[in-house]
Amino acid sequence: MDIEQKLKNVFSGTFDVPQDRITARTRQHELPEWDSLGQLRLMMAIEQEFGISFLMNEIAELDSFDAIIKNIRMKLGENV
Amino acid sequence: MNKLAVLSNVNMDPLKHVLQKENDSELYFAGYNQWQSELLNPESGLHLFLPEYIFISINAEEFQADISELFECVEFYLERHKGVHVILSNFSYPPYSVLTYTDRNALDETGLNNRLNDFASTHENVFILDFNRLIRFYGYKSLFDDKYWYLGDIKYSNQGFVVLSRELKNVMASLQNKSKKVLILDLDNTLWGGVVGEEGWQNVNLSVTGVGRIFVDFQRKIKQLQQTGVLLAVCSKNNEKDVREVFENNRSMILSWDDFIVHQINWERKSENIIQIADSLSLGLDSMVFIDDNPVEREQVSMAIPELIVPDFPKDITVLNQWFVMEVVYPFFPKQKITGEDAQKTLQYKRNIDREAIRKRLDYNLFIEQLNIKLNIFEPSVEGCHRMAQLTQKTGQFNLTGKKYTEPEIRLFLEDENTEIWACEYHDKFGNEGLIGCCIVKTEGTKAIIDSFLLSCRVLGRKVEFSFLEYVLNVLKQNGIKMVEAHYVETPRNHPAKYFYSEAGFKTEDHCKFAMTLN
Repeated sequence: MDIEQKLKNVFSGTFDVPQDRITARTRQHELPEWDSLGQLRLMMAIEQEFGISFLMNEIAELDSFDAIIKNIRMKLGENV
Repeated sequence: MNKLAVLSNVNMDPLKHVLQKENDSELYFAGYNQWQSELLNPESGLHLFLPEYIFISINAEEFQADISELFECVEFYLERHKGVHVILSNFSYPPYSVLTYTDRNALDETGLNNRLNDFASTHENVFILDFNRLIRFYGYKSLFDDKYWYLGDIKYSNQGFVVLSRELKNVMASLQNKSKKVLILDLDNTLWGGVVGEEGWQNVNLSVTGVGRIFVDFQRKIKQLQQTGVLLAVCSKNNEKDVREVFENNRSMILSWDDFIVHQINWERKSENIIQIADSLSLGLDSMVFIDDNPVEREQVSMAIPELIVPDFPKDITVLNQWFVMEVVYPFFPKQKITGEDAQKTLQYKRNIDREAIRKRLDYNLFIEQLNIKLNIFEPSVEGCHRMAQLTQKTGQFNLTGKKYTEPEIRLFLEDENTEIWACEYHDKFGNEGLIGCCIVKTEGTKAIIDSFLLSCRVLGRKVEFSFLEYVLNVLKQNGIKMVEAHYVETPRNHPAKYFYSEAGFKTEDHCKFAMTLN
């Protein structure tokens, strides 16, 4: 499974929403379930799924699907 | 659906989401750090929610109160809500301290947990969720994450919450006596290494040294599980002669042929054999777990019998023993207590199979006569309530109203003036079956209503139910009861009981309500 699909699974699992509500352009303010506690649960779930760790100050900035996937790719050492 | 409330002094919001996904509990999460007022205020959301289970997870580092305050709050709540189960997570401190080597007892985790254990053992409705066991298994660093503490008052990591929710489910299952009854085992590459039909009984991999220890250890664990009351059965594609040779001649075998109550050893489809096993024990397929190393067999069986539990077998057999306990025993065979009868289970079922053999040879009424059945009917003692509750939980086929009760609820019936409760023990020439029946009757003046009447399926078909009911009706009559009302409430499994009351001479009022006048 590619990173994008895996990340979509984490999103829909964390927020309990169908996959089709998550696209590469999804932003935090567009998804009511993605509130501040939701952000923490999302970060926790991504860390476990991808075996990575976010820095505390990254967490405030990762407010879109696109920003998150770029950060994951960087951490996994892949070319975008 | 269980009604579960969660109280904590830290943010447990992620646990709510993990549990919601499981979708088998109705949940109430109190605002965090509200545990005291939730327990003490009779108007609180917790009091109004009326949970069956309250899970209290107190983080030791952030715990400002004295532990005795926690106990007082729990006692206050329990005095007002008798049937509820309180599950307390034990305390854990981080495994590091600025005091380094100076004071080993600076954070007295053991002392706190000893007090917690004492509290649980002196309160029948209080139980411990041993989170420290999970920390030992998964590691502190995997289960806790300081980052989310500083960002959002959350102590556990994602894995921490997943592991905690599973453990909570297992503990609740143990409190409902939801343990499965039968473990069905494949043989080749499951109970021993290699294929006996090809390698012979001397050469299967099973030994007290080296890699063969994996299977010796596995058999020891299975034997231990059997002694907690789980029945064992074999389901294997083999020649029975080859298999018997291993059991009889291989000195490293821990399990004996007779430890297994049924042996299905042939070349037929495994699903058919498993159905045979269920039939010969008169137990439901949903009360069984099947372990087989072969993924094709597992697939065939779970396709054919969806209600059977078929866990994935580890690819790396060196983790077989760890896997077995963590992934099979805790989830499917969890227990809070082991009774004397649990240890006798295999013998009890063996006798049943012997009785069946006689029954097949004899005219039925003659058979029952020859059994020399003796019933002992009595009001249970306080100590007997655990077994009574277990019986209501486990009896599906001959349970007229399908009601299930917990130990505290049975105790309440004992104390209640308007409730009569009887236990029935069974004995015949083959031996003692122990407690097999329970009847609960509520009285209102000269009228009595049979709330529950149930009989273990071990003794079904021997007319015991009629003798037991007759006894109960006689006592009620002596107590001045004039009218007895009884109900049959259909459940997915209690069809064998459907015509019981009409056969026993009750008048049918509608298809599920019955009445009898006593004079």
